Amino acid sequence: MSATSAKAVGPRERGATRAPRLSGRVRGALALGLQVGPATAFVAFFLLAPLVVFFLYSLWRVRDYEIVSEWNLDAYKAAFEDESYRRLLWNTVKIAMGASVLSATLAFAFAHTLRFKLRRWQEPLLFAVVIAMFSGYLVRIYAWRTLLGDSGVVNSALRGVGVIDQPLSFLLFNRGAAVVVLANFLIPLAVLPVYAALQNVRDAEIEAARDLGCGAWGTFWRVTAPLAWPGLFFSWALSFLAAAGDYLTPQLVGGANGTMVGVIITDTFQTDYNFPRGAALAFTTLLVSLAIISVVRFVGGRILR
Amino acid sequence: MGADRRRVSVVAEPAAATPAADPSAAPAAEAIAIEEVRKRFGSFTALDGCSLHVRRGEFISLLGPSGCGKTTLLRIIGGFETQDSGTVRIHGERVDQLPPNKRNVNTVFQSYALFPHKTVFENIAFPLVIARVPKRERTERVREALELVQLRGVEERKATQLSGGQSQRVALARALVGRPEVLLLDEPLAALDLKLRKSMQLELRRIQETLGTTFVYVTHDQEEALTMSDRIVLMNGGRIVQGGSPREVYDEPANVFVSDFVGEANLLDGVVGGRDGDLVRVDAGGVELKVAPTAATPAAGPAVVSIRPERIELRRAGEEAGAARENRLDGTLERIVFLGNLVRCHVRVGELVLTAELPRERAEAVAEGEPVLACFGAADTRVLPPDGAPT
Repeated sequence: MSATSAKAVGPRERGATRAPRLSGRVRGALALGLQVGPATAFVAFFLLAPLVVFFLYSLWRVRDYEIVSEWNLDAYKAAFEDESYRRLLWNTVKIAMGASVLSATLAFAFAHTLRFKLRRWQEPLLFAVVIAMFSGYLVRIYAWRTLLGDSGVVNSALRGVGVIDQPLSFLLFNRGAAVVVLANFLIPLAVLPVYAALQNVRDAEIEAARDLGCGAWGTFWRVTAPLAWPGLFFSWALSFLAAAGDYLTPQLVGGANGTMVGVIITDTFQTDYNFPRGAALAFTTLLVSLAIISVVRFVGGRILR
Repeated sequence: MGADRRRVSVVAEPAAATPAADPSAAPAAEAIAIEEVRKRFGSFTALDGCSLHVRRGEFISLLGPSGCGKTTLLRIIGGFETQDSGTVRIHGERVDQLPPNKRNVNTVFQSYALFPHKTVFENIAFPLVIARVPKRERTERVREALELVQLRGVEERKATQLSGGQSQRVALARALVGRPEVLLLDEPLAALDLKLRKSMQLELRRIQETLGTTFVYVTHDQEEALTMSDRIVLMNGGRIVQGGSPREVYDEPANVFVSDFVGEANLLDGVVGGRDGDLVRVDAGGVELKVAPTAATPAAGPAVVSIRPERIELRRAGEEAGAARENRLDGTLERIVFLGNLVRCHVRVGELVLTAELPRERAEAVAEGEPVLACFGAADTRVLPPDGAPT
């Protein structure tokens, strides 16, 4: 008994100096794991796993309405080579760009006014923004149709005043309508990040810029905009991604030239049951969107320094 | 620090409150001329008719408790606030309607306000870029400015990667690199620790003397104001209460507020009695004091006697030394507080408690609980009108 315990003491003693640090490190790793673990698992399971599955689908083939794991790039070839897909993708980029730039610009103007001009109304107005964000998506699309349709509010009013005889049909069912309706949906989403970024611009920094010789515009371009850029970029990117992936608005108000790739992707999945092609189209769209976002991030960061 | 110390709020009469410009100086020699400036924020009166004249190359401190209007006055000079009435001239030019970027005045902000998205070099070069100074000259002037504030090797660091002391120096360099006629400093040392603050005080003074720039320095720290300034302007309740050299405001306070705010003082409530030759007798809580009157001394009625703690000498009871002093008060030494180089003694005289500060070795003659003699001359005191009384 005494012999074994004596033997055991040796290594344990040598380890004793190291042991607290080691266990501290282990405990730290454990705490970190507990903190980020659940969120990571959630993202991995519900976001990354489906993505991986769909990526595999895009490399497989459909035969007799069944997906079989025959590796090929046909779906991507179709996505790149088919003229109609290319035109659709380009149309999608144009509409998403228009809607996201419109929403980010208006959101920035709104947040800027809130931060610098209407400080006393910040809370009620932000609350209104959040409310707007949670109002129904479809409801809003139909509201726009009621506004802009042939017998809608705008046309009836114009006819009532006697400005027009026939309803203005260009108000709805085209690319412009899709841009406006999408922007309307995206603005509340875009306000919050840019507002948060503008909260980080301190009054003292703005006063310092004025003090050191900048006029109102110089201060805006050299101090306010660069400091708000990360938030503004995030607002725009969020809007762009959401718009590029949308398929309801183009269907309901987009008309012929307002069709977006999302509509075709849902059709390919639901009607054609062609999962490989749908997945390939989705990944192509995602890739193009991410490429555009990276370019904007790089260029914007260079300009607003 | 005795029971007789009181918080005071003094409203000074405008004539005495306005520090007159040096009569020999022509108006153009004035860096800043402020006349009767008033400013209200809602129902709060921040500035209630302030007039101030600053000579070129002067280091002037605006000193007062928080809310006294000193920062508002500085912000009006800088152009960040607009006064409700009154005029501001900088080097003879009226600037009332000019925005900050059109005034040749720069500010060192309390929070430094460095641009977090720019490097130290870009921060300091900022005013030069705005003024379209050529690139080579820009580099040269940034280097000079960094040398002036004794910073090296941080040019490429982000403004967010600096210590408090370094940020302070960068803010100073950035404000000076454009060579302003007047530099405004809004409690720039408030966030630094005591040691650093003390060395920065001397350094600010050195920089100011090197450049000959007019400095207007806002602080609530009387010691800081005494250390650096050519002239101290005391403010309270939106008014300028007294202006003068550090020695003047310390030795000849115009009222109880100044006496209390600058340095330590025993402030004793009393009633002015009869005259005794050149001196005036004041009955302070049953103790009769002989004091030398000044212009501020009320002819009769209530008054406050101010005595600096270091002016009071303590003797063992019955000792004859110090007999030349007009006031010799019998008291009990209640408490000795050790302050390092000094010793602070609380002496009870009747109902009064006097605070005296003496060098350590002088305090060895007396002990706590023993009867002592508190001696001070009539000229060591100031008799001031009580609070709220028109001076």
